[in-house]
Amino acid sequence: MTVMDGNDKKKVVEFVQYLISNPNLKAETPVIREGMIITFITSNLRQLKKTLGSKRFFPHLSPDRVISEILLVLKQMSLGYLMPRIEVWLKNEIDYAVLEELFPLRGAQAGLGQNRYRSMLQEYLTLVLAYSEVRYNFNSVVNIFTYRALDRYLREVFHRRRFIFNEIRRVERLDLDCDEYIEYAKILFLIKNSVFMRVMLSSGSGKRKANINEAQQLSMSMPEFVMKLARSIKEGLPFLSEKAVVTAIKSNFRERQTGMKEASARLFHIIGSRYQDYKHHGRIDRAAESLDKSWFNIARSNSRFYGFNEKMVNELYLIAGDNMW
Amino acid sequence: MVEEDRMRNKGFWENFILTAIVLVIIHTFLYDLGALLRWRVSVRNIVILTGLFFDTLFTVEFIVRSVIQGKKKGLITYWLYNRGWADFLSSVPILFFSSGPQVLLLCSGRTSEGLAAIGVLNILKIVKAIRVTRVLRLIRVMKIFGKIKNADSVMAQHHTATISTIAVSIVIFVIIIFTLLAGDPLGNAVIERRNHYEDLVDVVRYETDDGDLLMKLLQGDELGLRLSKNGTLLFSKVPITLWDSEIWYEDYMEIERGGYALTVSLEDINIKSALYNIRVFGIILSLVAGFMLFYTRHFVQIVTDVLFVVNRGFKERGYTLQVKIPKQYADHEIFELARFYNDRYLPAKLKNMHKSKRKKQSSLSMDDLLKYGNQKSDF
Repeated sequence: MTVMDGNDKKKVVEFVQYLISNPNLKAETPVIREGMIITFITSNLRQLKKTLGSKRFFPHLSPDRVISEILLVLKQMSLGYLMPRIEVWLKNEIDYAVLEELFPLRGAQAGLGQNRYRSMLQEYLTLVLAYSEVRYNFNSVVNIFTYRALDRYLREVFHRRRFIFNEIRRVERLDLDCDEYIEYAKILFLIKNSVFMRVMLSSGSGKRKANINEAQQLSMSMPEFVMKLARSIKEGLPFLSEKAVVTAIKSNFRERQTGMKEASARLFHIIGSRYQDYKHHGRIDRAAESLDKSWFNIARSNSRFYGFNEKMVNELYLIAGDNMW
Repeated sequence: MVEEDRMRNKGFWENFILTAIVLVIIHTFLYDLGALLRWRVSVRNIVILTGLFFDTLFTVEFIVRSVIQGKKKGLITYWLYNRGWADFLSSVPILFFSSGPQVLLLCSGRTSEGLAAIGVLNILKIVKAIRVTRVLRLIRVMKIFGKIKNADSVMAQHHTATISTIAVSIVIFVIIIFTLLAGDPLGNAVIERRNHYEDLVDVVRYETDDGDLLMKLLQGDELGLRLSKNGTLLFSKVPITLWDSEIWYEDYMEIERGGYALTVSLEDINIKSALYNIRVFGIILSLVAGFMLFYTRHFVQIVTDVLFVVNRGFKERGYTLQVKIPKQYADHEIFELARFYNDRYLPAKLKNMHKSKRKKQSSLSMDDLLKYGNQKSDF
């Protein structure tokens, strides 16, 4: 086995480009492509190693080395797609004045100004986006920011003052006005995929690192997961309140895993799920319902399966229908 | 390359035929407009010759299509399901019963002797007697169906063409059948006119066999054009040398009675006939336009667009848009299908997609990888 040289790296990039150009992946964003290719690699690992070590591919390199180079190329592609967008959002899409009111900086951080929020968020996101599953699930955030989903839906929710509004105001007792709630939601969406980071948890056979999926599969204690993860997030973003962090984490949970007072988590779970696979169509087929109306209507039928709050999905469906979204 | 050339040629001929169809429809209108506006004979001759060209072209097109379809064993499909019968009706009978005889008449110098010499006098007499040739020409409109792509959907085009063909055929055949059974009012007017002038000649001959009296009567009559007795011309409102170039051959009739040859104008009757044809033509064109503009749109909205969405939902993995179900059509079978697609199929499809994502099933396969290896054998 020899060391990978520049020519080999070029070939790996070519190979990744080929995989990306597959008709099933072509229409997807780089982060979804990365996720799908990683899924392919993990589910065909043995066979893949054999193939990559064959004469037609990289016989002079260790298959493990080739696979890690493939993963690195994919990661660079995803980050090349995500980071410039995140920079733009942090610069233009977040109202730091509102953020300052919602989460004032305390202690040594107090008085450092709005740029401090920006730099902390930037650093934190760079850290969490090192995880492939965080990148994959960040697709929903990209779509939400790109298509201004929070502005559109939350303004309607506050304008209509129906079930979701009541849940937020009266049950969750979150006394924010519409603009404040939108900023609150944006910050929570930026950090909600932290659940795909691995944190140290105790299991039957000792301690091990796990993300939300692994913790659920191994039936680990979810309260412990939430507590440990919240602590980890707060280390990176100390200005956030405990409640906000827990809401962000729980917005990845099914309805029955959230508490009575966690309306925002339930709402963000629905919106996040809707925009994870969102594909914007310039022109909708004439006889078809609009994108969001279709999705929310299907979600109404499958609400139990997805773990959505039925009344919330119903209200979002009506909002989408009335606005032809 | 050869296939490309073949497709280009096919495209050229299809466009050529489509242009010819549009032109022949305009031609059909111009034919009667010429009679209505009393166009010069030379212009109307050109219209007749152009008609022959179109009918010959469409007859050849029909024969070629039939031969090609026959070779592909698709003759019956062409005739019965792809409007071969309409292609036939709008070409062959018109060529043999309308434009063909008219051009022969034109070439024969418009004399009965000339026509008898070329053996078409009997056909022309029959055709003129039933006076259906002008209506037959309207069948040409049917050729437009299926040629104009007024919708993306093949199904919508087919259905619009079928219903339009049925409507136009019924209008034309009802006119023909009524003409055959009840007689043509305009044809009857010609007979009445003939009887009137025959009676006139008889009355005058009964009183006096003096040609002067008949001449004076006819000179004062705006329908009397020419009179001769035993081959001697007594008077002519149009100089004989200009007769063929000034008077359209269908605009007069000759009555021969006891040595008198009387020429009487039919122009007023032909103008009424042209107006009637233009009306029928207008009705047919409006029917066609109505079907093409309104019915096609309606059909597309409530049938093909719905099927298009359902079909995409069935075929495309990532397509999850639901069908809009208008309240007023909710009980239509197609929207019942759409409701099943919306309420049952799509939720189940999304559940499956969700499950396969959970099971980490990738859209890629090892075959995709091997294909790459085969492409890059020098890798």
